[in-house]
Amino acid sequence: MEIQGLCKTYSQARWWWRQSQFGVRALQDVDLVLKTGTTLALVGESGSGKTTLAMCLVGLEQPDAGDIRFEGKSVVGLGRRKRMAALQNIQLIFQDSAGALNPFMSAAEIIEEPLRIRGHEHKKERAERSVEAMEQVGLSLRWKDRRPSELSGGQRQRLAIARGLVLKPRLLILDEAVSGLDLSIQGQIMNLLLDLQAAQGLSYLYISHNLDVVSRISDEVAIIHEGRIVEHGRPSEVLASAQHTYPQVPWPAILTQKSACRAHSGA
Amino acid sequence: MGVSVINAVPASVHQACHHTAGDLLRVQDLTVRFSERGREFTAVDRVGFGIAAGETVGLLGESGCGKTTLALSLLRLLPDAAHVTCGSIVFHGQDLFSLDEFQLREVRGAEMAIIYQDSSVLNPVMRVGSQVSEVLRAHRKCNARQAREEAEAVFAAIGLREFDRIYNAYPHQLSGGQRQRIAIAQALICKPRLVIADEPTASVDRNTAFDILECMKKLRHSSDTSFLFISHDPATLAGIADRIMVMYGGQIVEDGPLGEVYSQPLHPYTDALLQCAPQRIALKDFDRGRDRLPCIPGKAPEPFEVLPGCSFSSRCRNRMKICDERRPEQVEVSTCRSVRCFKHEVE
Amino acid sequence: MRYFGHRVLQSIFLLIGVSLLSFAFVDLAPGNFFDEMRLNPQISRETVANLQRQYGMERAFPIRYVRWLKSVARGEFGFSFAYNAPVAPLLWSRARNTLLLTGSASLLAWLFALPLGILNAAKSRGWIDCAGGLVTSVLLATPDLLLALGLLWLALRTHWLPVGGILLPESAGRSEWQRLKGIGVHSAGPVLALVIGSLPTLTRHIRTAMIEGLDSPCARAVRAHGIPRWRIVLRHALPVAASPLISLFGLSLGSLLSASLLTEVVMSWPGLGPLLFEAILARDLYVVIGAVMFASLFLIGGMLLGDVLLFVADPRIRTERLA
Repeated sequence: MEIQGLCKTYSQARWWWRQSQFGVRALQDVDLVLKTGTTLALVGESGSGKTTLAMCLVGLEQPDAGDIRFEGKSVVGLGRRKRMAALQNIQLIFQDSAGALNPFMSAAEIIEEPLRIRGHEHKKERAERSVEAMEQVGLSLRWKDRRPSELSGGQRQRLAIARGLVLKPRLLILDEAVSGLDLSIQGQIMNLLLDLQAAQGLSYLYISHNLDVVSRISDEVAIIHEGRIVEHGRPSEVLASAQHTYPQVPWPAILTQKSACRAHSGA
Repeated sequence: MGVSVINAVPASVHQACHHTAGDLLRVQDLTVRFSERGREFTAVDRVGFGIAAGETVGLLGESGCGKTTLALSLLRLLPDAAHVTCGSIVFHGQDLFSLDEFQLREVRGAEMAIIYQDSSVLNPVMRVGSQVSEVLRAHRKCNARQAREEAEAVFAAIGLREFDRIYNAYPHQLSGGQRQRIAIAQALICKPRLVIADEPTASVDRNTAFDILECMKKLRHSSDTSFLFISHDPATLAGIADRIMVMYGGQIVEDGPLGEVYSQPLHPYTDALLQCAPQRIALKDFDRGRDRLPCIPGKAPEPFEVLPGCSFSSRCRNRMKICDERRPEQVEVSTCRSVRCFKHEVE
Repeated sequence: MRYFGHRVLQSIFLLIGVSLLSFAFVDLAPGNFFDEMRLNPQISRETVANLQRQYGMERAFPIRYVRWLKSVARGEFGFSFAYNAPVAPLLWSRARNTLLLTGSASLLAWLFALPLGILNAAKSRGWIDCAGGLVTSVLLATPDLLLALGLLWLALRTHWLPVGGILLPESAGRSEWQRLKGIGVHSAGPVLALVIGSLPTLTRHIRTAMIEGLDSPCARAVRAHGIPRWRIVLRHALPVAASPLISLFGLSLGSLLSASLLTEVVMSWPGLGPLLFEAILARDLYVVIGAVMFASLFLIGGMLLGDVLLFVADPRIRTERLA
């Protein structure tokens, strides 16, 4: 995927018949390149424009200027139907899965929903594909008929990922997909994503505010600040230079000592 | 509503080091059960600990371990579905279970206060300043002007500038960080002896969380207030707590000074959890390529699942046969350190 | 102010829409005022046809509508066939009485329902709540008509309340105060019927809204600060409950208005009700439309009032986000 010169401004209209001069520049001249089978991490503070970028990429928002090319084809400026077809291979997974999953549908129905919307298949095939998706994400089949409210946070996130995978996309956009989870589960979900990437050749655009987590799992890191990309490069380079542009909460020394000891002793 | 002290199970808890009468808060054998849809489960299982005056204790645990239930039971604010089946809570010499609702109201807010996780519990149609001063005026006789002056002092202590604007503002006019500080102000204005902070930085972004933690550190040092700081993130507690209690499956599995627990965790769960916390990796490690993140396999037990053995055994690296047969008791390993694990009981 | 500009604009559109619809519906109903005359063999066909032409009933619907609009602009609101006079003055005197009735009934109903609802919610599941629930159930099941008739019967039997009319017969020469007293006494019956009829619904809704308010996160959280219960109920739960209640206020005006039209007919209160009733039976087209318009005006005014109250009560609407 290539993004060139993307711009998006949200204007606050005061009167409904008049555009106001106040605008929030959500994205300014954003250039990004994501190669197939790799993970690009987009790191930024809340309000830096990263969610807006994600929405533009899946077609939920239309950018004011710039181009987005997916697999060589431009997806900006297309009519709705063509855009939906072109973007079928991009799926978005949100942070707050409790909010993104319909609380009245069972797990199996949630996974089947995208198939139903695209009008693809018969009921039996849909059920098979949803079982396949659940197995891929490690969600035990006995949760098939449960509601999202009965699942734990980690399970809900797996469900959201399963729903994203069922259409066999090429690119997954993960908007803070593990931020709300417990630490022990975060690792599980991230490892799952890595496994899926290796098995299916997926590409990820991982959006987060946590530089530490993403730098362990991504091939490239981009830092976005107030709508502009301020850093871009390999994780090691970005971490070094990001001290000034994106200061992190320092990890307490006492823990780094311990981890250093551990690394040496190989425990 | 008063529950007399029932010792259903003989307490074999070895008391942790602060077992003198000088303890501000002493909890013993506290068990809270929930009945939901005809089923019962134990949210807090024979928890015992003490907090001295001026001490900051961190409660580390993940979602579902019972830490919020524990916090609410200290204030006797449990929902109707929950009931305390045994245990005692002695706060500043008073047995909280022997107090009636009126006496409890005097304790809440004035002696023991809570800072909630979600600052959206602020009343959206009431000015923030009145919400802070009403806490003061509920416990002390003072007029509006005096309350405002007190509020001004508290606001300054927690780093809220622009007093006039904020005092008269409504919650939706303030940022998330400011709202969280208002919640802190509400808790501190009556100068309570114990403040329970239930994940106060969970709902704000990282930089604001950092600021709030800094201000809480300052408060710790400047006053005699004890804090019970609840969090699921070891890094948050690292800078602020003197002592750490690790909670899993409704039980306290490890208890000890922060430095010792973090550098040499005794319980396998603590060990695994600390490894999961994201760390700043030395740059040279990057050249190894992408890494898998550490995690604890499996998941926390369902509340209704009652296992005969240790609740962590299914995910434990050091699992032994005995772990599935019996539940471990809390064992004092050295002064001020205790752990609930067979690995250390045998030794 | 922008907020109200929008609302007022919407209300004007609404009124136009209502007028169009009511005009259309009354027109669609088969027959018109002159049908009775046609049945009378003594009146010749030509006379009827002439009369119809005179009143412009032959014209097409849009033309009649436009003529009616012009008449509204003149302040006449059309012409009544039965009374042989412009509609507006007829309506105005009657509308005043209806307004008096509905206004005071609304006020009294809310005045009683609020504390009752709050009390029931605060002591929910206690004996007060159970008793209240029982009484409201019984009253809800009773139709308004029955209530009005019941009160009428009571008035006839006991002579506590006057039956029908608005003024005592001898009031012509009396002082203003006596007149007002007379009106007050006469209105007691209908007002009582309306209040009793609407009290159960209001109390129940208020109770539900208050229970939700008490259950809201902010009311529950504030218990931890040791705030006394009465303050939690009034300062924390009530404002949260206020939003749906204010919408209820607008709606309750509407239902009260329809109930009042019926009650007026039963208890012979000279309001819009009897007028409308007769006009419908007589197919007096413009009176019907005029009465409907007045009623809608009243209703929309009430909803605007509700919006004002919401504006005052909820600071989130009043102030913009500053953070």
